[in-house]
Amino acid sequence: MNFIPLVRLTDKGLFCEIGGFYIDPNKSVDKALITHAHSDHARPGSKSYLTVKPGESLLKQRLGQNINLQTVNYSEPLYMNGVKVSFHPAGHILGSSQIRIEYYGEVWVISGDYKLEKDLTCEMFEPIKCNTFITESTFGLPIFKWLSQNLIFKEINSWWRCNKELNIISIILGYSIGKAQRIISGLDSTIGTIYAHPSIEVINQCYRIAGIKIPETQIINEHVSNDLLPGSLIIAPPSADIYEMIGKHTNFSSAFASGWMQIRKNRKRISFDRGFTLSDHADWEGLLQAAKESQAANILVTHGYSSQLAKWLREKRLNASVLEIFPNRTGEY
Amino acid sequence: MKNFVLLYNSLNDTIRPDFKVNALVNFFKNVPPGDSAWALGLLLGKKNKKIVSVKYLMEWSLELAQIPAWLFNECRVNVNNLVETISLILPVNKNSENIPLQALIENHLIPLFDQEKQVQKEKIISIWHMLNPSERYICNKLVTGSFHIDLLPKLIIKALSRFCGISEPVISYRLSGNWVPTVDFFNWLCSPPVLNAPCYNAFPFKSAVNLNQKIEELGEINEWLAEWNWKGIRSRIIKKGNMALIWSHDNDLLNDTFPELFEPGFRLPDGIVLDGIIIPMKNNVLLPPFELQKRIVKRYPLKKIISDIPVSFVAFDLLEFNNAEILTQPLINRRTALIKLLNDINEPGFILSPLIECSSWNELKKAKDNGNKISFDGIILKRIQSTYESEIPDISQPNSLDILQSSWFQWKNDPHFILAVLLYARLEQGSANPLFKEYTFALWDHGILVPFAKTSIGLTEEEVIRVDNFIRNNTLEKFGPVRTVIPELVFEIEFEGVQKSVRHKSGIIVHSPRIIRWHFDKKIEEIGSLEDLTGSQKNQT
Repeated sequence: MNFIPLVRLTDKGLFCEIGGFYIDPNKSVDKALITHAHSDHARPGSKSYLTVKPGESLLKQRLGQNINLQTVNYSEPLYMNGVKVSFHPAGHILGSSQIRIEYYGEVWVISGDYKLEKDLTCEMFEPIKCNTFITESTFGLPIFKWLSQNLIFKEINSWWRCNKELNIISIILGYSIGKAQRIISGLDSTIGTIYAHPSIEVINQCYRIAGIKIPETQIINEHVSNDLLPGSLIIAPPSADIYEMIGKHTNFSSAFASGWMQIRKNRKRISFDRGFTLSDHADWEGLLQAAKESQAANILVTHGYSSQLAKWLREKRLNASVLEIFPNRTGEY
Repeated sequence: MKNFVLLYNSLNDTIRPDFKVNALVNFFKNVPPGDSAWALGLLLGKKNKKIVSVKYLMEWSLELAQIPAWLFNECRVNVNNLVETISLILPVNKNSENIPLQALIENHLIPLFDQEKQVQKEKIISIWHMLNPSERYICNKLVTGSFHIDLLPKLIIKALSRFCGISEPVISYRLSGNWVPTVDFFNWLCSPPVLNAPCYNAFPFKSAVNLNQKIEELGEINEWLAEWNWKGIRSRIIKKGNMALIWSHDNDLLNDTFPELFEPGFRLPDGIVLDGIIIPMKNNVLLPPFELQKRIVKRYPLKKIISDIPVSFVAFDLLEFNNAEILTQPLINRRTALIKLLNDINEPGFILSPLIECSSWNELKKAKDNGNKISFDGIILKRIQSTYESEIPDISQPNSLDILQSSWFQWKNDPHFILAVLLYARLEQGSANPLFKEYTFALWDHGILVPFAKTSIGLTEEEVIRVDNFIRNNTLEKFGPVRTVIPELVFEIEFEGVQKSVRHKSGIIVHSPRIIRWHFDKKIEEIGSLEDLTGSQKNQT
């Protein structure tokens, strides 16, 4: 048997030496397998990319139309130097995958970012049995337990409805890939018009092309901002300049949607009028369930509360340790 | 309970007072009166009694969540709040019930007082099972007697008034004193007033006009009484029938806020209206006036705050005596009656506003310059023969009231001036064509520019547009509506006083800053420094 692990961490990211490929590399490499299109996982500059079909338009949107990209279907196996590789839904955003790697009967799964809850804007997470499971741990503490998304959507819609009654514009901020579309999918479009920031609207188009049904959205820019109807809703990334979007309108209520809103001190820190706890990452129970269902003998825990989750799993008699892929990572994607 | 949690989150998340009022009105509309009554008590800061100490809740939650102490501590470090951590680590109940706030408190929590620990544990765990995490957080706050929210009572009164259509002073009056949160109480609170109870300010507060002319133009000094212009809360204390009322000049009822004034107020003889100022004073020593802020954030302040920052009432006028209005009598007569009344009642919390005895204007000016600048904003001059009637000059007719016919003047401390540079600007809100007109000015501090004053007062419309233009073309950074600009524009800033402040980056706070003029000719090197101000502060004290 070989003594080199099937996948190991290098300065360019997770590397499968036998297969000759990297997973979500943080530098330019020859062959990059991409779990999903968020910028901390999909970086420009590699010679060739491999991802799943549903993720194609998002990845090209992010890295450019001319990248050298090969796509496969979910669960469709590929062989690279004798290493069997397949992509499986991770439930994080459209086209997000866990990557399964098999070599002489040894199976590794790299989770990428994932969540277990059903979400209409992407394929649902699929548990895969393996020997080694590399899991994320963004919300790896037992204080993070999500309420069902329907309850959160209800909260968001009633906030919007109240604002509309008072002729106030609602502005909801969330990351432009995935989070924004998930929010839109939960909005009740009978309340009013939904406007999307240009950076979100291009992603909406990718979702619609992929056949995901989300309510109709109008693009917002300087030409429409002054004609905004009071009581409409704008969805924008957190970096957007609110005042530029709303033009002459100054009466608005802003909200932020993120898993971090679970903690009150975070809600206080942001300068928005409301916080909604909505995350595209697995909560504590989800992380434990995924680890359990993988039936993995070894669990490697990456970015987030990795040392805490690993320690807890060890106390549950699992062989778990920390794998620090993104030491400088902050925020939630 | 779900409605109350939504209200609590909405109130906490936003800083906008109008959104807070909206959230309150929505809440009152959507819940039964029993819930509104309990919510009022909690939001106004009525003491909720501890049932179980947080130590036990922690123990039980660890047991229920089945997590070890080290993991709990990791959570606690991240949450930074013990009760919240406890509420979050408990297993999630996917179908939480909607227990009304009133039922939770009356049927579940109150019966737990003085129960055996084991019974309390079982009951509380069964309550936890019925609630979702944010509901549990509120519930655990109630159980541990630590419920708290930063919310001005004024906003609650405003929301109630909007909800039921009863005027704010009536609501405010009805909320005073001891009441029990019941359905009947809330219904009574929102019912139309039956008779015109004498609980309102019958006549407007008389205010002093700024002294803009030479002091000598006021004529002979012996026609005037001079008193210190106390910094504090201008208020009236009214005793009528079986009621005592403390009204601030902006119509806040302060009975519950200042129990140490309400009690002696209640002991006053019938038919009295006193005019004066509430000031912070402990063991006959004046406290800095800004300390009063800590007293008014809560309708029912904590005992500790009351004992740390006790107040007194400096009475300077008597408007009603023995149920008879005496405001048409000359000041000198009213003051004589006031002195007699204060002597008779002999309440240490009620102080007679002392006169500054001077035989010439010059002497008075000296007294003013040597006065305590922290507690007094200069001097108030009142015509000895004047009556107590409000004199609001009619601006449309400049000659309608000869300024010299005014009978109360305030002769303020001399303002300070300093040159400062524009550092930040904020977009104004609520305008169709918003301009950057809320300016923050900076001074030097050892080679660094430090912001020290914020104002939007003093420039002409034309100047505002020109400055706005400069801001848009010279932005260094954007933070939402705030821009950092290239420090280049120099202005002369006037302000009334300086105080130390730990909450401000500059370490000081200046009072009533305003722009005097824009100095095109001055360069950033020529502006003042923080030392100039801290130095002037030293000179004052």
